[in-house]
Amino acid sequence: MNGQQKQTGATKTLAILEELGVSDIFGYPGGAIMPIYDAIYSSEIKHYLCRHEQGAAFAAIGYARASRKTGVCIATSGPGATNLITGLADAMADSIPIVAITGQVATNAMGSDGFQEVDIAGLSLACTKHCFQVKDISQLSNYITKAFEIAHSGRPGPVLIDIPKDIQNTSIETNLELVKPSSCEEEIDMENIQAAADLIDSSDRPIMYVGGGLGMAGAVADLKHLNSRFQVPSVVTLKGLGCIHPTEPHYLGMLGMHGTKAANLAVQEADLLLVLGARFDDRVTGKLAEFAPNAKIIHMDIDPAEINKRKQADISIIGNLKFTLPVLARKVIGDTEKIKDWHQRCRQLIQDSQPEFDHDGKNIFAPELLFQLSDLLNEDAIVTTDVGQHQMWAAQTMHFNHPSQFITSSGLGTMGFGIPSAIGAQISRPNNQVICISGDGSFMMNVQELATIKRYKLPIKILLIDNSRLGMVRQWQELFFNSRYSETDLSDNPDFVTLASAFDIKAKIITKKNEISSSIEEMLNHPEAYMLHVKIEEMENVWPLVPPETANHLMIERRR
Amino acid sequence: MNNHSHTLEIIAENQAMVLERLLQVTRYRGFLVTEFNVLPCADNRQLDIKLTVQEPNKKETSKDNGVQRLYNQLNKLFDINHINLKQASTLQCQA
Repeated sequence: MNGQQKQTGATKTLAILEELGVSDIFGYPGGAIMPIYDAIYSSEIKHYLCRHEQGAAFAAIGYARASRKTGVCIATSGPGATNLITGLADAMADSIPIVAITGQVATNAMGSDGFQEVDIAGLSLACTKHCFQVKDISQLSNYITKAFEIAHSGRPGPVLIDIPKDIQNTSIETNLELVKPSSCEEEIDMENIQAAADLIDSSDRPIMYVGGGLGMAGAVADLKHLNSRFQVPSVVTLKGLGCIHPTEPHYLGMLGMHGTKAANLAVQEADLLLVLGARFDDRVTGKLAEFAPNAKIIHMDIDPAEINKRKQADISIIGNLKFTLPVLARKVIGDTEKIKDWHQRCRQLIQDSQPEFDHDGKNIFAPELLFQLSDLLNEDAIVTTDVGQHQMWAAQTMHFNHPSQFITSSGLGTMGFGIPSAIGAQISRPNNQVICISGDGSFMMNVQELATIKRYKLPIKILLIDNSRLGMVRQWQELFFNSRYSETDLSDNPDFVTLASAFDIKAKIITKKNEISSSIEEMLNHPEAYMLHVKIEEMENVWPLVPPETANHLMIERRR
Repeated sequence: MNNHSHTLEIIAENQAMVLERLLQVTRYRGFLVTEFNVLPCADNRQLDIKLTVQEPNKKETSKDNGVQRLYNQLNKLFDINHINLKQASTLQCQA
């Protein structure tokens, strides 16, 4: 925009967003945000109307995760703002850069318990990286610019900007000058890098434990380069899936509660863990005191607060993996001969823990279904999931070439995430195949977003895996609560095909194994949105499983 | 003051919510506030904060350096400029 011109706080907000490169935002209008919605009406920025503010927040997350850009969502004051909170918490748990803009009652009404007034800044304390509340129009430009800088710098995360309605309406004459984002130069601790390289070279049984931080840093190619020279056997977290291609010869798969037997046993036998952008989450470690009991630890992460938080590191390297990993790779000598027995052991573990898809009867076995789906997807397809058994089956059986292709609520474990995050992913990557894998419990938590899919003609495919149960909770009730199935029977679910049809989305139900292949192909070949409703058995469980407060090597394998 | 009492000397931006955020992190990470003093610095743009905390759940035998973790979490806050961690005049850590 050109210099001296009459603006309001609302038009200036949009102008700043444009200057910052924002092209798409997700939101829902309401009273205290109306001036900004009026500015949206004539803005170049494309606004996507979701049908619930939580959907808008998840769409912003899906957008950010698929594109590595900052996602933006917007809502009114009071209930609009509080409906964003779960999305902010999800972004906080998974370190996703989003900026949420909320309207607020006018500054002279703040603190009077006005209509749709809530202290959203106060509510956001525990689920944002930072929050700004604009009290004067002169702060607006600086706060918005800083919000984007904070959201994507260092360890990324959500930032909230709360803008009172009178600030949005304030007329201003101003030169639109953005505050330049501050630059940050990485300082790498070369002494620790050398010590880490020496430790790797002296190790007989090293394992790389790769988390979501590697993909967030854009360092997937750097890891591949290291692997091409010196192949350290590797395991990944849920958010690390896609960082290492499953065909790599010493890739053991996902570790943790529902990880592969190979990954969990190898970590327990390792004498060194090279931890890349991971945080020893409780779902990963099982009983922490018995996790990797013989391993020294090299912990590389951008967030100093993650070092020694749950597990003491022998060597820590703080910094962006994009910069630190190549430097470490240059220092590692990498004697493959020295770890050839370990390679052999890992290959044996991989061979012994191949997934089993044999399943009696004619009914559909979800892991087999997802394995077939994975085979039929495009190389660059993006998969989002909801949370529960279907999420774990997808993580166990599907293959991804890059972490941005598997968008799942990992840290917070938020049901209702799948459909809106698929919307965000499809909008940021319009040419990619986008598939949402959902369960019958999760699907109903943001089902209203089917209207958003239809409104914007998004060709999203939904694979709804339906066991008429809140499956993961039911599984735990069976295993740990004496089969007392308290409130997990969802057999009164609606007719999902009719429900999808009400949103004018084509849908089909299948119940038999022999229908899988042709139905997946039909879904993927359909040019518009499509929902494949798949009925599975009620009592199927996710295996293996590490019971709570149990060491990972004591996992329960499949029970028949 | 017992052995698990720690004092953090903090310089923070004099911004709305900085005190709430600081106290929220302190509570959430498992510490009790036993003393809290705040004065504006001479230029009124920063706050000079003295925060004394205890770890009520820490066992006498624990080697866990919980206050270092609190220090790390507080140090991430955008409006915190400087933290000096003191523990019974033995442990000192400079931001």
